Amino acid sequence: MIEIRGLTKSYGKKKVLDKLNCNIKTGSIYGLIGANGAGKSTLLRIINDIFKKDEGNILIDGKEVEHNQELKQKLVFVPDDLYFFPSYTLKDMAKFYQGMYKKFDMKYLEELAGILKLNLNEKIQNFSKGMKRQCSLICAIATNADYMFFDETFDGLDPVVRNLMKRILAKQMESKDTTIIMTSHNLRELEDICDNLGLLYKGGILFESEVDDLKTNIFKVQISLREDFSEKDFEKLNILNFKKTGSVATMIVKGEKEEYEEYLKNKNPLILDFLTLTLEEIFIYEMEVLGYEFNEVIQ
Amino acid sequence: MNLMKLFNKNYLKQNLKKSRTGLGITILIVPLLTVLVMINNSSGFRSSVIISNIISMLGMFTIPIAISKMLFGYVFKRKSVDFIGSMPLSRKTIFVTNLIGGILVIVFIQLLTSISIGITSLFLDNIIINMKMLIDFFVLGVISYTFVYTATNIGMAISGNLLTQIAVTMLILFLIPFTIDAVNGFDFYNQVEFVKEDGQNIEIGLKDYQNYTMPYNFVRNFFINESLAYTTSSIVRMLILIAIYSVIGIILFQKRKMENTEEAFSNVYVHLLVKGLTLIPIVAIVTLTNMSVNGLSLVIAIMFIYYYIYDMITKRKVKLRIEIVAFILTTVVLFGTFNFTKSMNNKKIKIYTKEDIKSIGIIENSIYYSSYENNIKDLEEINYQFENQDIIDEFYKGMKNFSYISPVELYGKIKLKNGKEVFSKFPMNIENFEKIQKMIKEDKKYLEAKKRDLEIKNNNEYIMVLNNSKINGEDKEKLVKLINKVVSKQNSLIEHSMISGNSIDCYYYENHDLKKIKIPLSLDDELKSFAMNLTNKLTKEKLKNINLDEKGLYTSCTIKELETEPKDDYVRRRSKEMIEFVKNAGENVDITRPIYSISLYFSKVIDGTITFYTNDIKEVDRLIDSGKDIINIPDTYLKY
Repeated sequence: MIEIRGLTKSYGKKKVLDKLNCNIKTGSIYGLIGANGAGKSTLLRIINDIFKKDEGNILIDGKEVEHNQELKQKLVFVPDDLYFFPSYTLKDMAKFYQGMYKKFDMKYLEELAGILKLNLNEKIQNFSKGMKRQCSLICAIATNADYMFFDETFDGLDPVVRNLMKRILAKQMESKDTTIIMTSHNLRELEDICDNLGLLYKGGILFESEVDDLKTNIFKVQISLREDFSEKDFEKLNILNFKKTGSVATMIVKGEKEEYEEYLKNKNPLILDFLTLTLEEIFIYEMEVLGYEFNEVIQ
Repeated sequence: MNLMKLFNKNYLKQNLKKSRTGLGITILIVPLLTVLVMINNSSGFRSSVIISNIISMLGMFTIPIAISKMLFGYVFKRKSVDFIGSMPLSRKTIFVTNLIGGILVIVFIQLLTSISIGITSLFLDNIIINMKMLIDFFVLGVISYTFVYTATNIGMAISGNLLTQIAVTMLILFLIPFTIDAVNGFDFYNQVEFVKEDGQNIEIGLKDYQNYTMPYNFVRNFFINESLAYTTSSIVRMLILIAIYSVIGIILFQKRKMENTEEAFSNVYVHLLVKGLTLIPIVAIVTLTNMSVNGLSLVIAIMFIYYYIYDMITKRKVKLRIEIVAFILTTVVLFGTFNFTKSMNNKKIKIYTKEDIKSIGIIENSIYYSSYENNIKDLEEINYQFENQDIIDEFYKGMKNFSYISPVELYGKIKLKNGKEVFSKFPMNIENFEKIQKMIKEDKKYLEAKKRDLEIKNNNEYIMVLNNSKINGEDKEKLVKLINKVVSKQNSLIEHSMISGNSIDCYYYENHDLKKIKIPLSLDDELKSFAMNLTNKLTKEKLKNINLDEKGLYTSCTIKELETEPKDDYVRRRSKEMIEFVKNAGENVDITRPIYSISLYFSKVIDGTITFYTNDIKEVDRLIDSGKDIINIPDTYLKY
């Protein structure tokens, strides 16, 4: 488990992380979302002991990360801007990782390279951008680290490869109880991979929730009644958003679906439809409740 | 702290592997260039490898920085910082591993260079090398390079880019000793004056033997045209600083803000401080060359230019800020300070009288030389100090009676009662000197000390050169026996003529420096005879190996009766007749008969001057008179 308490980091006078608190459960895929410059990469770098924090604590499995070489064996980080040694092949890079990580599995790496059709003996500098990302990913996965950090790594992968990577990660999590932390500024990238999401804004976690909870507890209702109606007629519902066009109202509600369904049916509606929302839509409405414009928070 | 626990072999291996091309070049360039310089230097016998090895000196600054760039260079790029920083290595491990790795590379480079020098010297007759020298070269090279390496790692730990790292490294290496020298007005020769009773002062320059570290010594000596000698205190200083810099480096590296890449410093005040410190040498140099008000204007103008250039190079952007005012004020203050110290130095005069002298030691035969080639500071002869007041009185009188019409100087070491030692050339009057000689010859302990200086104890430690050729094997053994026989009999070398040219040069390596003893042939007849015959043998052997038909080969010769000035006022060109004569003449010389010495010079041959002795005066005279290439040459060509 990763526990972060009161984490603060400034670059000069600019405070990037401000008393940030966060818990990431073991065996989950945690998506960290935020606008450009929100501090996502900084947070990952501090957790991986690349940057020093100004204040606060980071405990991984109950131990401080800072200067902890043994603990870092359990962490692997793939940054947004990839780095490979000059003129190195994928095999050379894998050997480097093997020299660093005690649990590195070369055979597994070769297997993954085969699946992705990556030539082990080709110089990485000759690969496309997407292929380079794949190289980084499989090297990281082959380390068998307990905690994997991917900074906008999946952004830019084609859908086929992304699906493949998801399956690989899922298998990794299943067999090795790996915890994955991913960042993105694009909700759609994280939606189908992550099971927990956190929104980073102004140096702190503004909002976090399990994805399933978000998707099952918030839904869109389209309703039309025989007589005229307004929002006040639905007092029992936790309405996040209410729009009425003509005689049809569209509501975003948060709560137990079965309970609301029964309640609304008792009003003898002419139209009653329950629609699922995308994650982006859910976030929009949640932010509005908190008083934020969604576009302000995630660009 | 157990350093070996912090050493990660795998990381080092990979770190070196990724830089294999640069590493290969770095490892090979110093040995390669050293060998090339050795091969290309054809003029005379080489002095100490350490002194003359300009490549090693330049390497001392560039190689450690190159190694630091290869091993630590990742800190200057965001991408590589993320990659290496995320690896399961603590910063301490990274630093210690790279520190040890860098030192190992330095050791390898020095080893390769030493071996290359040793092997090359086997093929080059004009190189004086022995095992002690090579070991010294290796050890002292490792220490010097490591010292610079540890300094450069401190620069890396606090800088955001390579150029700033170099600036900080130079500050660490040079700022303090340079400032000390600048405050002393770059007065490397402390003036000590012995006061004549009639009011006239005799100024005596002291050689200021340096205790700075090697990097500064190299640069300093380059400008004051001094030959360099490693000193024990310099070595000890470097070893201590290596330890201190390594610890400082670890601490700073652990605290380094890795988000600072490509900026000079993360903290603007540190940037200003370093920039300000680099201003000191510039102001010092300009001030000490121009102390007037114009000098201040000049230095402020230079400061402005430097202000911009510094930021352009280290930050790649320039903005005129309020701190320029602080820089102007700093410049003015520094200007004033250096002016003040210079004027104080000028007023500082140390005056010593006869009563201040505790004892004296002298090199007798130095009186006949205008420049003495030995590094004689530590000779037993000079370390033997006479406390006899009569000798001291006569010595002081000799200095007072110094004549500008017939000037002679004597190497000596004076110990003052205040504990200070003055080693210098002292002005001397020859008559007073002869009185001193008479007195000291009665001192048996002194005579023993003199013999110890000249006696060749272990001939393996000496490299003997005769007729520009190294002497080995049986010839060397015979020479050593003869020399030691001579030395054991002689009370003083003064009794024999010391005209240069007819001597055996014995090189030996002591106290990290190459030293030379010149044994005049005229010391002893048996020695003289053996040496002359050997000279002739060597000349004939060399002639066999010279291609006389080589295009562009220029030859000349000078003939003189032994121990006189060259015969006739001309130098012969293309003197093929003389060469033929030498080729066909016998090797043996009878020293009881008149002897001509024929010196032949060949332009394209390493150490191309060889000598031949002959008793066949008539034939040589005939060849001179009948020769077709007689040309009148101006006086400048006569003395060589």
